[in-house]
Amino acid sequence: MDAMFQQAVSFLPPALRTVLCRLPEAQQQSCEELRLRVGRPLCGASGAEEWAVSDGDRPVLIRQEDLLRTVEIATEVSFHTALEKLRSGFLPLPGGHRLGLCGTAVVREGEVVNFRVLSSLALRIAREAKGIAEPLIPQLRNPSGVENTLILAPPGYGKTTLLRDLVRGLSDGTPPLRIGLADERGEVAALCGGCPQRDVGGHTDVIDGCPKQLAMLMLLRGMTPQVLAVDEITAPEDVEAMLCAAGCGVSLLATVHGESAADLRRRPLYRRLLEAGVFQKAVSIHWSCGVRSYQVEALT
Amino acid sequence: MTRWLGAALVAGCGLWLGLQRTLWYVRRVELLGELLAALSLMEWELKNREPPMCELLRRVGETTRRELRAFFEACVRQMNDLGAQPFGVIWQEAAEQAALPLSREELTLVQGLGQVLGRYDGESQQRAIAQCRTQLTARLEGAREERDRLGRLSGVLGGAAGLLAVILLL
Repeated sequence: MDAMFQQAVSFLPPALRTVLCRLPEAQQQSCEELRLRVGRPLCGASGAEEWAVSDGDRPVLIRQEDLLRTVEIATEVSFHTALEKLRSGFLPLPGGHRLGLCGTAVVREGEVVNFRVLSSLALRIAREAKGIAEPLIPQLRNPSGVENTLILAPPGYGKTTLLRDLVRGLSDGTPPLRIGLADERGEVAALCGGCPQRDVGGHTDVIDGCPKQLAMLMLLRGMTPQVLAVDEITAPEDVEAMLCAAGCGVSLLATVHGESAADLRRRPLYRRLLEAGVFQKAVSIHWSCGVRSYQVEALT
Repeated sequence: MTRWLGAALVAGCGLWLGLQRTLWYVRRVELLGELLAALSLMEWELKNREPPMCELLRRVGETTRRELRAFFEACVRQMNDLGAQPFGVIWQEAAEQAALPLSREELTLVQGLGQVLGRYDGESQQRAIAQCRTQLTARLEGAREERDRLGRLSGVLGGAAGLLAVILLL
């Protein structure tokens, strides 16, 4: 039984859990996401492909109750504590997994306060892929550390997984680099009781649960990192913090949603970052025929 | 001699049953008071600290006594196995099993909260608790009146029923 898969399905109601635990191990290992849509069969997803999960020869149909139970288990009956995180897109779960919610939102004073009816859930299974960054590291290293690097790909292509392995590879590399990881949603290191549940290397200091811009400042001031790593730059404040950090003598690693460097240049939020020449390298992730490939390109 | 002993036992039983009922009325008033205080604390905590549900119930449970404490403790205990059953059912069953000295309507009001707690944003939960508190406060007045009116009467009736049974049996 795949341990990460098992941990992720523990957030589902028992009936679904039982069916999923019966899947062949190879299927469990390749599964990156579970999709629950009301009235539709339960689906597994690997990259862009989706496949229906069946119990024997019957598809497993999802009911509204299944979604409610999943949210209840995932939030430990504390929707009010999860709401803030949910507003920023998804709910981070212990172990680095994450749950995305869809449905009819209830908005009060411009903010989502609940979902009147849930329509679908996406449970993203955190995966460690040790060694995927090894071939990239020589292309990204420079005499003083590492080039400021952006990892860019569409959602679900494995940006966080690559960032984690890059952090691990640089932290445990020769020479090892001291890395400060601003892990706002706890997806990269999955800290639990002060210990990272994912291997982020022996010279990595992690701040999680803290807005990226604050975490970056705290890491810079308190932990004197050689490299600052950040997952998902999505807000103007994140870009602002990156611009500030760029002048502080540390190398930067960050992930963004995007197809390519040209795509980023078209978007005002990132254009400024690229025009300022903060990042020297970009690693784009491509997916074809069920296989990922990585491409490094110079940005300046 | 055995006859008189039996008669005393029957009379004692009647009196005991009557007193039990009296005690129920007394405990009901006490418990409603405790419950209202517990709900106030829950409301305050949700407004000011927004703690996770498990922590909230543990904290509130520590401020209560006897049946109410057992109720909150049972909820916290069973939340360790959330996958087995929904929280609404856990809350409902815990209220049932704690044998809270409440009328059926009061128990239903308390059990209804299980469908709201932890499922909505803090403000909505506070509103539901406040509404439950208002309804229970109105019931507390009635419970006090019933205690004064029926509490003593139950004891007297129990004793009288016991004596009547003795007279009939002798």
